[in-house]
Amino acid sequence: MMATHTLTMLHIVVRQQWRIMARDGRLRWLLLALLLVFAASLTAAAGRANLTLAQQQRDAVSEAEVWAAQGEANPHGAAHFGRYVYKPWPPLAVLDPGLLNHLGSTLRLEGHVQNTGRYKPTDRGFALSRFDGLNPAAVLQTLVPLLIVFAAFTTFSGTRSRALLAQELGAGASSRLLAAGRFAAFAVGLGRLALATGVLCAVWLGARGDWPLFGSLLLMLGACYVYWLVFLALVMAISAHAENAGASLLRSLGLWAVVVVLLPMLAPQLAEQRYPTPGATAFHKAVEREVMEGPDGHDTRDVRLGRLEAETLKAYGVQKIADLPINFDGLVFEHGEQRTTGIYTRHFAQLYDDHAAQARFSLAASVLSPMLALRPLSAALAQSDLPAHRHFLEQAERYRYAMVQALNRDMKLHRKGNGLYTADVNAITAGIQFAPQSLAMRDVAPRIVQPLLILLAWLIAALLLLWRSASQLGGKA
Amino acid sequence: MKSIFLITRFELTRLLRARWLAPLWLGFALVCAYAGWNGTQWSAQRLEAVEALRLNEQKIHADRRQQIAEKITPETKGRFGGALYATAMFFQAALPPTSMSALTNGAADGYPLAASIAPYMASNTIFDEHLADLANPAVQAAGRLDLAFVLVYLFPLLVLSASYGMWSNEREAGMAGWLLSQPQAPWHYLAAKAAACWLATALPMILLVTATLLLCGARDMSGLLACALLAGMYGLFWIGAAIFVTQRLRTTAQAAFACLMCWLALVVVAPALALTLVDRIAPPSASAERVNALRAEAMRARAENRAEAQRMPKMERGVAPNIPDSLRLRGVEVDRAERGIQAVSARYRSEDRRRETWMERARFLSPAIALQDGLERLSGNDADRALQFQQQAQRFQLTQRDLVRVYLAEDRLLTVADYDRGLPRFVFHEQPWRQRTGAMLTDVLAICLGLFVLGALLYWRSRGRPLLTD
Repeated sequence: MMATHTLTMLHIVVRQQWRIMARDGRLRWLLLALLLVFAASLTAAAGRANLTLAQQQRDAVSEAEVWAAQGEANPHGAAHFGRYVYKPWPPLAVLDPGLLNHLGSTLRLEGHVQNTGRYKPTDRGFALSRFDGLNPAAVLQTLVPLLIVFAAFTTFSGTRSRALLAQELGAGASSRLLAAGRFAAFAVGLGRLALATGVLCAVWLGARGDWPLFGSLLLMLGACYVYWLVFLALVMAISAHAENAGASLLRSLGLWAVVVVLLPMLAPQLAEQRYPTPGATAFHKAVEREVMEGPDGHDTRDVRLGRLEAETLKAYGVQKIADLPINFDGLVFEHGEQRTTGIYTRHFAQLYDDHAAQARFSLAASVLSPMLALRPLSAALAQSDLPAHRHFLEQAERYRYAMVQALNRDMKLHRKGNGLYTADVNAITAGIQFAPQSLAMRDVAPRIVQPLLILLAWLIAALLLLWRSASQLGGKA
Repeated sequence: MKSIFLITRFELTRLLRARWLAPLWLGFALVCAYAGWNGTQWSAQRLEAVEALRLNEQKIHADRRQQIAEKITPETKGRFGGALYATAMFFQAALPPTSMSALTNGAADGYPLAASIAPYMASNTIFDEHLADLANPAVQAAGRLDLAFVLVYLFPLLVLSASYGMWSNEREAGMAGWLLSQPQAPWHYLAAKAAACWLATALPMILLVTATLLLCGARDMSGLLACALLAGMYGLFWIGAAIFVTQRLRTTAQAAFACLMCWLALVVVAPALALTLVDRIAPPSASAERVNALRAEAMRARAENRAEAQRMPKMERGVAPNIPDSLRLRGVEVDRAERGIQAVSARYRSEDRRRETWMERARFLSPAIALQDGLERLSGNDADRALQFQQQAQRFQLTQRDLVRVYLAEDRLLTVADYDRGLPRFVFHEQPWRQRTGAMLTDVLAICLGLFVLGALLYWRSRGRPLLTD
């Protein structure tokens, strides 16, 4: 009987809150504006992704033609001429571009060197480029919390200032019930917003036939929804505490500015201070030094070359390089490539480990801002984060090594004639293809568990805070 | 006029006694200190990189001089071509940061900091080595909290937080009717309140930013003044916006809401949509496509070189020259390749210029864009300066090719004396002041235009019943 009464009361509170929200013209306009901005940013992102994909396909064809146009060429020269590969644009990156704008999607593959991605969308920017941040994910992660602030800052402080709260409490509704009902009403409203954005994204995915990504999309929007609920509970708690609507609005805006804008900006910078990484010049100098002098500075390139020469002569039982049945230069290149690849791989692994440590630091800072948990989670699901990029680079590196060594091997197996040895380099590398695969869900899953748990912990903490604030409402009414 | 002055003084006293003002200044000072430190760190890293490149160039030249002085004999001459032949001269060009660099990193991270130049290198590849960027992209994606961010994003928020209740506070306190019954025009109150607000909030914040810049090593007084002027006008714009937006609103909460919406529209949404629009109208030239086109051109030139080598009879000389003829032939090939590079690049350059024009036009859409542009120019980390550097570095390379031609014509090797005299060095020449001032004035004009539009709207809206009393 008691439970039925409570449920009825809850239903009334939810309905009443819905009516207030529906009649609030300001909120209607805001919601409409937000959905328009979301749709505009999604359309722009989708358009850009389509253009990028089409451009990449054209580039891949041109690149293959250029490689083939070399015809007869010295294989090692061809390895220096190098090839270019293009990182496919992950479909869900339309919703959350994550770090993609700051990672080059074109990679030059050449002998002796491991390069990083080139031609970032943020390259060659102007003052206006500094304002490039309004993507669908930013709308969901930054602007929706602002909408929540505007929708919910008067939840209690507004009614109290109009002396309505006392009437509501006097009518028999408990303060906790009022809080629960209003939270539920807002939560349903936010759920509908999540559904609307989900439908817009699903249309994009469906048009491309990317059905397997629906699971990731659902998880992304689900995590986003939890984040919104956290924000809602916090704003409602502030509203319950604030003495009037103005104070409630200012405090809620302060929360938004700190939690959504400042902390997510500061955390990566502090992480960089905590785990500094070398600049590009210092990094390449360190690699070059190790290539020239060995890891301890005592195994210089000349010494290694002498050792290789002696070992090769001994293995083939000849006295002079000219008597070898193979091309010694090719053998040197093959050995050199093996060595530099090992050195580069080790240095890059260290760099990426430092980046991962920075990411862990930022995630730890999510105890201060739930956005710091949501952002890596969303980018991981969209495959627009650093581990996904590293996965691509590793595949490209395996391809580079196979291609360069095939060229070096061909040179090794063909003795020098009178002039420079040349061969059809396209034919030599024809069997080596590059077909990058994106990460499987089982590889992504471990990276999203921790942020998801943090978000859930935030939700529990925020709800407890709201519960506590609501219980004090009676005294303030 | 005297009455405006009196009201301003009264409002100023009231504002200065407000409890929230000191914490606001303190908070702003702390954010400025962090942003200034952040900018100084970034600037110091760039300066360090430029210095490392200079030292590297010096070391290479010193090593080569030593090779000529101590190692080369007539028998071993062929092994030291790098030191002896002008064709192998090596230079490093770098773009030094200015003393105002701590203000913002601007667009600098999107352009090469330096160029590695050799006369026979393809002119489109001299920046390649310096394109690599190993900084954590998560930091770049989060955005740098520098002084420009503080001024463009936070400063208007804080100015608005002090000015949004300018009139609605009076209404809520029941003073509006009484004030309007006094023998004062309503705009006198608004003007005086705006002036007081600017003096109590915008001015101290501008002074704090200027002081931070001075502490960060900025010594360009005209730059500091220009920065303060731009920020001052920007602050005025936002106070004007607060008056316009809140003029007819009934409650302080509504006024705060409207001000924030205005900030969001002009600082976040409008510039982002403008960028999307520019991307549509004038997209950036396709870098990967350009590279493929240049590589295809290189293949075509190589085929032409091979065909010509087969056609040309082998050069016979009685006495072997100091510089091998193969390097003279290479010079002809480099010139041919350069013509191809220029032809291919022309199309992409015109696309880039078109984009640049649209990007510059976008400054008139929002004072926030104009201020960002102005601050980037003041810091020396703007796109224009970066592009100037690229042009100067490429011109420097062409000048060195001319020098190589002289050495080849005279069949002259580099000597210890050449190294002692010093090989040519790249020096970046700043844009002429007229050009810089012109660009800055456009930014000032854009903010003035914003102020004018705001003033016109205010006038239009104030006709009849300027302020609400009920």
